[in-house]
Amino acid sequence: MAVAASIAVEERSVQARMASPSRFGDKAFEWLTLAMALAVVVLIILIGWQLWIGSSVAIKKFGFHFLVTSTWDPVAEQFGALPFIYGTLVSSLIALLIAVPLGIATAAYLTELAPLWIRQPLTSLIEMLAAIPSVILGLWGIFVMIPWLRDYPFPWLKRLFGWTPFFSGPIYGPCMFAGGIIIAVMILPIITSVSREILRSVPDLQREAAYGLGATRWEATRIAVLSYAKKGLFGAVILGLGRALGETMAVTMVIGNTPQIAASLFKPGYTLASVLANEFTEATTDMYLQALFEIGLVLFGITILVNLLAQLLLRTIATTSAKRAVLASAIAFISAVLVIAPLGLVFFHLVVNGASSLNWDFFTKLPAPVGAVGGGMVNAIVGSLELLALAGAIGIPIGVLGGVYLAEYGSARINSVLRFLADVLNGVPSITWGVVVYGMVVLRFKGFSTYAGGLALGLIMIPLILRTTEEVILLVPNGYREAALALGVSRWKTIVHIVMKTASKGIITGILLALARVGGETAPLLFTAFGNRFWNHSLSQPIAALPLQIFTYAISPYDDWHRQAWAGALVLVTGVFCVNILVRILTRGHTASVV
Amino acid sequence: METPERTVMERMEQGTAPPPEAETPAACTFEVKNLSIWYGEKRAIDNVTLGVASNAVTAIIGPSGCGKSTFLRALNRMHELTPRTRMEGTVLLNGDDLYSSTIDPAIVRRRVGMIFQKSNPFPTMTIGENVVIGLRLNGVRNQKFLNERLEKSLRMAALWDEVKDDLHKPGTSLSGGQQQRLCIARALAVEPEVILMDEPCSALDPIATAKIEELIHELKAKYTIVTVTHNMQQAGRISDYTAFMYLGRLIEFGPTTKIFTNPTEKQTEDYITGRFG
Repeated sequence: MAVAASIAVEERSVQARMASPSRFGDKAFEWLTLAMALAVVVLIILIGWQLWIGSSVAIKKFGFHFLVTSTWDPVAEQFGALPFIYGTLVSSLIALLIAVPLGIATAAYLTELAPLWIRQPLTSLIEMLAAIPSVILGLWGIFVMIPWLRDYPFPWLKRLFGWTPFFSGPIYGPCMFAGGIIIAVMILPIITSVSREILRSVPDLQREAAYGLGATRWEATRIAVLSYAKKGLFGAVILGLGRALGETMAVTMVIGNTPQIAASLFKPGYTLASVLANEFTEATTDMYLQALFEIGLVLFGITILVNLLAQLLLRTIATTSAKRAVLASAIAFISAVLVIAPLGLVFFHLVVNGASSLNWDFFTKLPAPVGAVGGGMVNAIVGSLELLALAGAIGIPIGVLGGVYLAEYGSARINSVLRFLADVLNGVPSITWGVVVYGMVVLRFKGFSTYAGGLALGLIMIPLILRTTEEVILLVPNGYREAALALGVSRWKTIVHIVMKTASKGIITGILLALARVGGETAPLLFTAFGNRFWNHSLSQPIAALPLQIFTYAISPYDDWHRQAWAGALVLVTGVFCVNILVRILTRGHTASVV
Repeated sequence: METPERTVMERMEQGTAPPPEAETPAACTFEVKNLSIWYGEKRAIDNVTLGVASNAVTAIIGPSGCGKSTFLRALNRMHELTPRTRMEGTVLLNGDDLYSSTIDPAIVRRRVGMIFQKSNPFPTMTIGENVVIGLRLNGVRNQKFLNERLEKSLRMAALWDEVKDDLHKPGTSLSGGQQQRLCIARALAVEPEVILMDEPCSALDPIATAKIEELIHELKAKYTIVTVTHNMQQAGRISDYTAFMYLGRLIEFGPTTKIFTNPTEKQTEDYITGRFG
């Protein structure tokens, strides 16, 4: 009886609840997600504004001369950025010359020539290559690639082409050519995967039409497939160029860091991003800092133009049904091997050099004082996790909710603008974020801090998470939304409890990938988190991070620190790969299920 | 309430009833007056007036693109989910204006449930969770109450005996016909006044279809049902009233027996005898 009575009471309260309107929640949720989506606009403006403010005095003082003079003398306060612009362009050009043919040939191999069973694993491997943090590639570059280049290919090139200015002069090791090669390794994955998407999107009809005219296989490929895909492939190349221009850590570690304009590729060079990485924390005078901010502005300007161009070129490509390109199979196969090879080599050296230096101390002890042997990186491991937590607290809610807005609300025109800006933001060099946060937080609050580091990483995460969230939410069939709405569930509850829940695996995947990506970032931490040899006791103090520690140790003169850098790199890359493998497992279940 | 309804129905059955717009409101669950709907510039529904009789099945038939789905969706404002829609006219549900500016569409949809062409149990939820999700998201927390509704709804949807031991299994683990009945149970759990069905059997095999048709027949005792179907035999089997629509206009509306045996309009006759177009 009591039960029946309580049910009756409940029945009445349910009826009351079911009749109560809930419009406030809907409006509030829409405004909240809109505010998050607008973060991409705010961020673009923030970057431009901060760089402009930071460099306004230098711009006024040096004017156009900044871009065309080549004296970089902080002591005399003479600042000309030409050597850095030159170094950035030349190293990127070398990288493109290597990466474009290899990347496109590999893409052709992956879409057409490779046996079916090998395509997916190969594609996954290339994506893994993209996940290797820049600083680890730099470490490998210093200790493995450069000695090898110096001993074998460089002398050989000099013998053959030494009569040209490009390959003349003494061979030091770190040089412009080495910088170009390491950038090529960094941008190969993106050129390959974007080209692959584009070749897959060439419609069958194109090729059939060519065959219909009596074309051979090669002619059909050249006439129909490649010419059809020309614009898209060019977009892929430009996208790669955008990455190359902003690439920081690996280049800084192998290019030699000398501001000079030399014809010989065996001479050291310097890039815009590298000078920021090396000199920002040393800038003692206001004008020096101003000049560095202006370097940041130039770098941002160049990369944003290049990225805009790439996005415009890629925008027109509709990724629809699959189709293939055919190149001479041997060349394509060798390209694929060359693309995969760095991954294997890096991993091999990481295991060989890193495992022998890994021990219990590494995970439990603080770094040893300078000159002393032993010690560990426990503070850097914990510091990285702390920074990731902070970054996630900023990047995850903004990115996810902004992505929800793009997928669920907003007019088509506004959304395409926001999407475009998010893609442009994803192409902003990570060191630029460091410069911006330096101006925003470090200068203002007079000190490097955990906050600043976490903020820099968090801001990088926003556009990454926003785009993946949008994409997976759009995959949720409309039927689920309609079913929930037809039950009288309000719009925002439908989105949160039905749509986002259905897409949760995909959203988590995006978050994990973003965390893995920023977890390996070094450049934005150099002058925000700054690094710390001891435990960090407050969020307003500098903090250690694994990638930072690897960088510091790698460029130090001590053998023991080099060994620890390898160990740190092994730990970092293992973490990043574990996340990637986890994601692969998650997404496999994902495609098998309804969504 | 009862008396006029019966008279109207009797008169309609005898084929002597005037066109539905002249009916007294009390007889009908829905009263649609001069309803027009535009998608952008395109007019999908053109000045439709009709009354939906209570505790009966009303079927809407017509060639594809005739606006029958749009009409159905206008009865619980689902058509508003399509961008750039505009409507004119009135829709009264038991006397309440569904398009009044003070009424929240969510409230409309709690009173008017809907079943879709493709069964769509929520893939992340169990069978049990699927049934009570509407209540739960509307703030009902009392577990005892939810359990009671769960069983009641599944029984009404003729699914209880088949799934009572598997309530924790995913809703998507059921067969197509069972999934559709699960969706019906889900709609019943919020106790709507009307159930709209948008071609509920078109994705099902004949055996599953028969079960749903039987279920519709049983639900009629408690609910008013409006269904869209492209299958004329089905309309003839399950409905009491039939509306024939063409190019957004209501061509003819009346008792199913009359529409199928002695239609007034030439277009209706052509359509049901397959000579259309």
